[in-house]
Amino acid sequence: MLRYILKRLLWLIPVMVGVITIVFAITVLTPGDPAASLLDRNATQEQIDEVHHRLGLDKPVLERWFNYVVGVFTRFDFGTSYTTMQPVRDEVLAKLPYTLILAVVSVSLAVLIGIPLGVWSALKQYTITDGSVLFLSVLFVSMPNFWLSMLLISLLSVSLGLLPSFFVNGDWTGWIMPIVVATIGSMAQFIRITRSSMLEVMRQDYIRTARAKGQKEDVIVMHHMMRNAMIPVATSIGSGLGNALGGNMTVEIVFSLPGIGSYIVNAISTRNYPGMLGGILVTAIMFTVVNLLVDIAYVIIDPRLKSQITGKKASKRKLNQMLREQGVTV
Amino acid sequence: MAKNLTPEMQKINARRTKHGKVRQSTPGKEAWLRLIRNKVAILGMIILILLALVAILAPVLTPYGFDEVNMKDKLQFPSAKHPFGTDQLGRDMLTRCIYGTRITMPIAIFAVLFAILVGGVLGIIAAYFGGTVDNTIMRIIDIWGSIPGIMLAIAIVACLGNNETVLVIGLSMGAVPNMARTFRGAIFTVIDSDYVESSKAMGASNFRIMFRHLVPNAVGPVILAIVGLLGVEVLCVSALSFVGVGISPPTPEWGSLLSTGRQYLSSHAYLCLFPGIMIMLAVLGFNLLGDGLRDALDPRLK
Repeated sequence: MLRYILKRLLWLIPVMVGVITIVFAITVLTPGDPAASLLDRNATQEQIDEVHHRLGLDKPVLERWFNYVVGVFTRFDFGTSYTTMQPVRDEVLAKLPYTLILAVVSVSLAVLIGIPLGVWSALKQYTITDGSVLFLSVLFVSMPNFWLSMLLISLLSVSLGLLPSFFVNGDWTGWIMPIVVATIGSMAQFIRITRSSMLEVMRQDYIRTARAKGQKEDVIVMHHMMRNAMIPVATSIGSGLGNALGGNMTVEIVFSLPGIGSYIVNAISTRNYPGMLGGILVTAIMFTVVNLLVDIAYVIIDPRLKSQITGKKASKRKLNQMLREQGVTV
Repeated sequence: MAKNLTPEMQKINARRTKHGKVRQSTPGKEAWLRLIRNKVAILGMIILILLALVAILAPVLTPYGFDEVNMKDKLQFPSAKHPFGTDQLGRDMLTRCIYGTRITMPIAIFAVLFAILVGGVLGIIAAYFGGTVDNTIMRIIDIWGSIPGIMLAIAIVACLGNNETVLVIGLSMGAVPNMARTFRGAIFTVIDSDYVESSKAMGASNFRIMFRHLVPNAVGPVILAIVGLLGVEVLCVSALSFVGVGISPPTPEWGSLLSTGRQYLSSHAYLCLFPGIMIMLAVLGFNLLGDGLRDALDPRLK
């Protein structure tokens, strides 16, 4: 098990190098000169050269790429922001808690509310309850979260004056609306996935067997159905967290929440490439770590996988195949 | 003629023969019949067809031009003359929402098509050849996919320029990992079939096996993923414009209408209401169609 986790952690290295390469490629293809946007229009060539030298832009691309990769792995150095001249690492780390809190709290709430609702809806298939839960969830999935944010601001802040319309540090009430919006979006996903997974399990032979031998209905639901139905739901928690890391960007912007998403958008609009690269890199690292945690949780939920990792006849091929069948990326 | 019929299909065939019509049922035909009997799917299709008609008939539907400035009538609340109200330059919001259909929907559709092209080919090749090819491609896809799609799209669009072509490319690049995984998974479910082996034995080319035998048989989950992705891409197009890197304000893209409306949120909230409803309708159409398709392709859950 430890070896497996260690191996997955090592996978972070190629991920980081790959992400750096992709973002570097994008910035290299960009027309225009970041130095020019930092200076005013009638800057002399000398001034531009000076800025180039200061930002390290006078070196060839491959050298810059290599230095950046070495910097990240040896000194944990994510470059220097073009706009503030501060280390990107410190800036991104200061923004990280906001994004993490928003993602973790909203996904946890979504799981706590969404899974019971999905189970309930599946048990009541073909009834009005099922229909309305399903309809509401498809409605919520279809709403753009920045639109929902603005509707809530219009209702709760402008009309009723109950909650602040934007986030201010130190005022916890500013968290309520961003979290509600983020929760509603991912909750709808969990309802849908849980419901269809439950419906699939409910038709299995072992459920009929359990009923035939006279097992109590709540034991059937809790032990026979839920344990098996939760396996695909567990993967979707991982992808839900992953989606939250990227998708809450617009929520952060509407509520002026100083998270990584709004940092990246700011960096992009000011052509602060190291800021953009650092933000995207940290998001990708979080995404990969979340996926690792989900896969570990997976092994704990599904005993078939555990023997594949820790058992005597551990077979890498079979394990990968089983993980893939469940939709896990290995 | 399809040989391996399920009992359900045989029953349908038998019934048809009795009524004097000898028509064979195939899995595809049957899924289609289930689809058009599915109310949810029909509702989704109706929404999408209506939106398509709105996009095509835009100039006929409204007396105003989408960029017709009329400062006398600026920031008017919804009325009979302007059902969705007017914006800060007196432009009719209903007209702008209608014309928005012409911008958002094609971008989303082309982005998905391009993502299918790139991701689909990668996924099919990975699944068909397996081994090292599969490993290499999927490792690259994993790295690619560790950047959230919308972030990759924003980075590409912001850096390479705000026009429709770049927007389509940026959005599709964000969706490629998803498509590649879907295609690969779908092909894996059919690759061990006897018909693949027999066509291999008969000396069919790799290309022919991939595109004549594997793809048509693995099409179910792929269609589902594509319909789902269409909804996601509509959301992404408007999110990008809302953030300010997609389509910029004078063009009536739904997301950029919302980003303009946001400045008037405290006094003229209706400016934010209607473009959002349009986005929601479009996404809802794709999601309902997707739900209906899921039931039609996998009737066990129904």
